[in-house]
Amino acid sequence: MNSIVSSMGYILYLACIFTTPIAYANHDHMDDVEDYEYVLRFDQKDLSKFDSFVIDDGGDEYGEYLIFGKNIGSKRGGGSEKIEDFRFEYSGDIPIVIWGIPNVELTNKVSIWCKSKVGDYAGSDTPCAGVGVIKAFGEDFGKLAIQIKYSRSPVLKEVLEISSCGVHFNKPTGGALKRITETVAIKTFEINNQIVPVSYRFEYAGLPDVIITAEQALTMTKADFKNLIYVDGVVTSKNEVVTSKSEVVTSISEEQTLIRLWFYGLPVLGAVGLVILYIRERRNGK
Amino acid sequence: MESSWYMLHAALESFAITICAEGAVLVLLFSEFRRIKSILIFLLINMFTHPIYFVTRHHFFPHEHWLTGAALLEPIVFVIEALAYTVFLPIKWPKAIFASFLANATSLAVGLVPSLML
Repeated sequence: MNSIVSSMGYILYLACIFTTPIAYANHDHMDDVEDYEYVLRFDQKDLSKFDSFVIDDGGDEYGEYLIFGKNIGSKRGGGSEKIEDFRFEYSGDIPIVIWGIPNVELTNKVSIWCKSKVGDYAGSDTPCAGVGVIKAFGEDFGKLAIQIKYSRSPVLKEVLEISSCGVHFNKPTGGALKRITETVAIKTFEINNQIVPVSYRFEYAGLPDVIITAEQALTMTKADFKNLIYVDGVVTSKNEVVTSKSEVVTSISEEQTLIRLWFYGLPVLGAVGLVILYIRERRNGK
Repeated sequence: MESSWYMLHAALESFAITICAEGAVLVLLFSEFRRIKSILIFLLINMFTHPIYFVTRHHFFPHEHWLTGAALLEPIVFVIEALAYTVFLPIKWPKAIFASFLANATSLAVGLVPSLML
């Protein structure tokens, strides 16, 4: 038993020596981080009919993007009026490369919730069933889309009730809000990617834009969000955007250290342990 | 794309389920695994295979494709583990294969239950 314990001690020591350089290899590499801006579009033209967002399908200066779904009913999934279908819109694409391979997940996928009553964009009653629809749609139009989980996006989380695999539009809009643009920083790692919000721009019809940083957004209350989102002509604040890229990179890098220790260190530990045991068995003449 | 902490949390949860489910099956059903050394080997094997399996499945078979990934990767994992049991333990290879298959099937089933209930 003592020999096994001492062997494990050596294994752990070797694993730490092996994994520590890997874990710190990419620490704070500013050139890995990109600023990417995507646009969350929604249009006011049909808002008067509904309680929730309606997404525009018109062209804009951002180039190719998936068009949005149809109007959604006044009661989300309830009553006699059912939701038809709706989707997120993303414009552009994020050229993420992991291990020399373009990350298909990030550059070719969209997160949606699609419940279709009638035809153009056939879906099903099951949330997330429409991913195939979007992919086909994307292929038809040669568009690319991205998938982003908004767990770190307090603004979008407030604006759109986010589920684990789709989005639900059930918050009413004010009359003036046209667009929310979220600027993010992206950092790629061997195992995964990290997208962190940096700033938000709220654009209103006939009103000055409001720009807040991600840090400011974290301190905002629900009432603050309501003031930004349900704007009917009153803008509460305007701030200059501060791209805290270096802070984002540092915080991302520190988290990734632990991730690397687990995903690299554990297999190394296991493999080395097995090798040592095998060698010991051979010596003992198994 | 999930945050890093979410992914680590998911990996830890998955690893814990694997260790508990597979360990229970092996210890309860196979006398060869009722020794400290056998348990240690079981742990080392899973420390080696599980993170690789998790990252590979998560990266190349995300979201709605995870079952495809599991179907492709689980047999590889079960063969590797069966091989390791044959090498390190006093167990014949047919029994090692059966034990590994049963253990991995159990852990996969346990992992599937939450998904099916959603």
